[in-house]
Amino acid sequence: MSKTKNISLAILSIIPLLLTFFAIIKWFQSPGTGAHAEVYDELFLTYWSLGMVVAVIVYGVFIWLMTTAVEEEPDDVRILGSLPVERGSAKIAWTVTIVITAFLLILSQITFSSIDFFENPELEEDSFTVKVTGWQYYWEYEYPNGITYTSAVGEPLRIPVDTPVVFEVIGGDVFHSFALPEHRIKVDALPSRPNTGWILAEETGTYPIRCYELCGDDHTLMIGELEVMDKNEFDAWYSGGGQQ
Amino acid sequence: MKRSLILGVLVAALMLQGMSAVPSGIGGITVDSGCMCHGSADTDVIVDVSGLPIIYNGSETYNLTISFSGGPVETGENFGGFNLRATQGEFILLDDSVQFWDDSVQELTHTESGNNQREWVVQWQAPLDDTDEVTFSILVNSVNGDGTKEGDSWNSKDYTVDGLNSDGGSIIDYTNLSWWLIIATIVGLVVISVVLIMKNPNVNKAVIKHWLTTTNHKDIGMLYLWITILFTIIGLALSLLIRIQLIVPENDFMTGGLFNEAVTMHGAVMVLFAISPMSFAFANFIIPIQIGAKDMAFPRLNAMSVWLILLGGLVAASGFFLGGAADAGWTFYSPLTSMTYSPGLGVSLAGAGLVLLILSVSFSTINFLVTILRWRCPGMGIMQMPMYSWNILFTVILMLAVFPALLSAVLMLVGDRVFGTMFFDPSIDGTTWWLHIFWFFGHPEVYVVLLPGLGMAMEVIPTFVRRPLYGRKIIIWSLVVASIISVLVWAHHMFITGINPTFRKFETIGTELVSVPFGLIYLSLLATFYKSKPDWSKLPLVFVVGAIGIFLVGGITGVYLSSVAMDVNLRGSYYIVAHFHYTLGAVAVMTLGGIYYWYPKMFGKMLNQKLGWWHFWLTFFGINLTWIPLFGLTDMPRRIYLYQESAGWEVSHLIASIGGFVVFAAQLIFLYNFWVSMKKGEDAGNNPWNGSTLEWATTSPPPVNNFEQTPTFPFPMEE
Repeated sequence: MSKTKNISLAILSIIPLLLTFFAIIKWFQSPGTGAHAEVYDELFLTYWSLGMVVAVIVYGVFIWLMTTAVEEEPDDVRILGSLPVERGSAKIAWTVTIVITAFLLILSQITFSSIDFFENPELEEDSFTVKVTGWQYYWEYEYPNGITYTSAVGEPLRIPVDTPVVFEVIGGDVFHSFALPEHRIKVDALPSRPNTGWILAEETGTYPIRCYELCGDDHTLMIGELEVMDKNEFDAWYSGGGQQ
Repeated sequence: MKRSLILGVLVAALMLQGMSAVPSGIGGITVDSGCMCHGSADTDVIVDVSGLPIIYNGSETYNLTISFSGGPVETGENFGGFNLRATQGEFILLDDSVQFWDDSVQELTHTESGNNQREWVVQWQAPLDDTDEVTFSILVNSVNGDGTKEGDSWNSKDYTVDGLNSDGGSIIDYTNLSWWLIIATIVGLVVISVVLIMKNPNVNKAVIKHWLTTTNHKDIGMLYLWITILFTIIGLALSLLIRIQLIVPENDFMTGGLFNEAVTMHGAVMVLFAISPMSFAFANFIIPIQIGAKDMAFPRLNAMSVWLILLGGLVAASGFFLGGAADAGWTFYSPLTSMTYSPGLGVSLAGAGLVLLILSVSFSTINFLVTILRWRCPGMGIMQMPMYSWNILFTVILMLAVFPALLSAVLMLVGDRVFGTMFFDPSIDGTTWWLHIFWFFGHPEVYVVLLPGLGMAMEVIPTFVRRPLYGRKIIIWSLVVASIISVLVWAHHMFITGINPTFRKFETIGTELVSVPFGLIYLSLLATFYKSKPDWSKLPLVFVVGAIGIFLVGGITGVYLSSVAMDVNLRGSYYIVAHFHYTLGAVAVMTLGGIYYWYPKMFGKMLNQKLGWWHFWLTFFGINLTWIPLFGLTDMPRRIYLYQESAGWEVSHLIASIGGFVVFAAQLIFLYNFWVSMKKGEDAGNNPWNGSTLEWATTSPPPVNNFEQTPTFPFPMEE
């Protein structure tokens, strides 16, 4: 008997282990920057906390159920070839259904308030649209005044700080996905159908641009760079026709 | 012959030059062998060629700056030299510091006037034909200028530049270690199987003919099991290749093309040819017995199904030997799968393999539906049917609903590739069209994979905790609801492709609601433990409990993904890969529990307990070790084969790779156990687990017609 008990304890030990590992997910996140990251990171924290609460409750219930184990064989045990025994309570099922549904609807509302922010750029007077085209295996940028260049020549995509900028993204050849991981922005680049996203960068600096959809042999190498510039520097560069 | 002659002359020339200690190139000699005239190779000498494109355009001209830093400090004159070769294109000289070493090959070196500098500029014109990879080999000599070779050093570097339309890496590379690992795995498997079969004295013509022509559901179940084990090993071996490639940053184990083949075929083989048909292995063997039938409704159709699966899988995988397997991802997103971007045979072969698979699945679907609905023994109403049969019933209904969508998608794809039908042409937004039709199949496919595993858990838990399943009817109705919702939420795979915002919100709610029925099922499974008497020494129970532990992590992380706003950042990242490996990993562990549960019935022998415990702990820790660290990589794109050390991903990948090896090792232990126990295991008896369903009422293994006489339900018990 003690042997069985030991083994059941060992199996139970997996549960806190899972829980611990699961908790670590939160602290693995790479640091974010910009307006989207603020909204997204808050959302992630909400989901993560609620997920942790659910995990703790479910594992807690499971461990509690284990402690109700009985020594005698229960009297409703099914014998070979007998009719299946129905048990369970519709009341409990409906209660659980309503609780889970309500919980999920609240989650949706949290999500919807964030997605509204992602979908509706808060444009300002000096906002503009950059057309981004994904090619195997580089990005092409086209500014409203005609400046056009690609990431293949090693030039970063330049935008001014504290200014909402809209990206109109399209795939030039195959399906790419234009993403700024640190700004928590991602726009799929489908061929022949433009797709939009926007950014409000809050810190100057350079950040990687990566492709998140398998686009061919060198998908891995499809890395660009975003340079968030000081407004004056950007204006000088922009009005100078793209010369530094 | 001519080459070696030139080589000899060049070596001689080199020696002569070395004597005078003037820095020079190493023409004709491969750069790797270095230039003996300038001391030793030195990693402090940093070589750089700037201006090289990642992808070149045909006949475009690029300015290249060759430079180096480090090495000895220059003191006198003549303190630097270089040698640069390109496999294609043409160099154009810009000044007199650079000259051609040899006009017959594209090879440059510095001139007499150019050896007082450490930076040179030339132009390179790309070849007109932009389908080939071009390799640049550069060697530099860092010279101290004292006129002798003492204290000098050199270093070399290779650069590879792809052409815009190059197909680099998708052709089998026999010089690559990973390819030999694939070959070794396959040959090893074939040799081991043949030897084992041939050494067996019971194997003769009649036995072979029996297995090739059998229509008995139990034999076909066995065939399914062996075939899916074969595909599982192929899938796991491919996953090991992926893990080896990612174990350290900037690993050069595989090329991008080969890596894409590995990820594509790993996904396709595992989801479509391994886990999904493995449920048919047990369904074929167990369901007719469980419902008291003699056989499946259409035995010959059943035999056709199993051979079609084998054929389909082999056709899909044969691409590895025919110029490169499919490499466009197992989701086959258009237009990367078109002839323009995937000109090889791989995608077409995968398409053909899928068509065969879908035919097989369709036949099985009809077979199981008729069997389950019409061939239950007298007295067994549909509500009295065992839970595993219920789950298979929902599985095949879902299959019937969604596999036709995949069939039409694949036929259109093959039509595009072979006949130029242009269904998925980008100008009519074929990309979106493919996404809709593929995910209409692809999302319910997840439940097709999951339900048989859950069915096994629903059989195993009541048997070993000695209480009836809690909420049978609740579970059945939950399955109905889950099946309906599952065909309505495909668009959550397309959240950021620009679909209508309101539709996205609908899909978000729909996807979240999937957790209602599955939450009920999950809680019912747990509630079965209430005031029960679980026997923790039994492996099937241990596996199933481990699996539901893993499944909860997969389930909760899945709720994150149902949120359209969260999906913006998580889409296409390693987080999502970790999420679905947690759910599918849970299914795999449940299926292992099912194997431990029904192995005694199938072979009449028990699996070895001790090896079984090793198998469980290694699998369980291995899966967690592999996938927990990867949840954190929310910024790492999936399906990339290189990452820089600066990205900070290396620790996670190192741990994950170790976990991958542990999982693989555990499955080898299991296979050994599986094989050895068939002969040497303890005798199982008819009902080793005290099971209550009908398969435990017959002998192990069961007779050809399953029961001595047709059973009636409830089954008369002899005490």
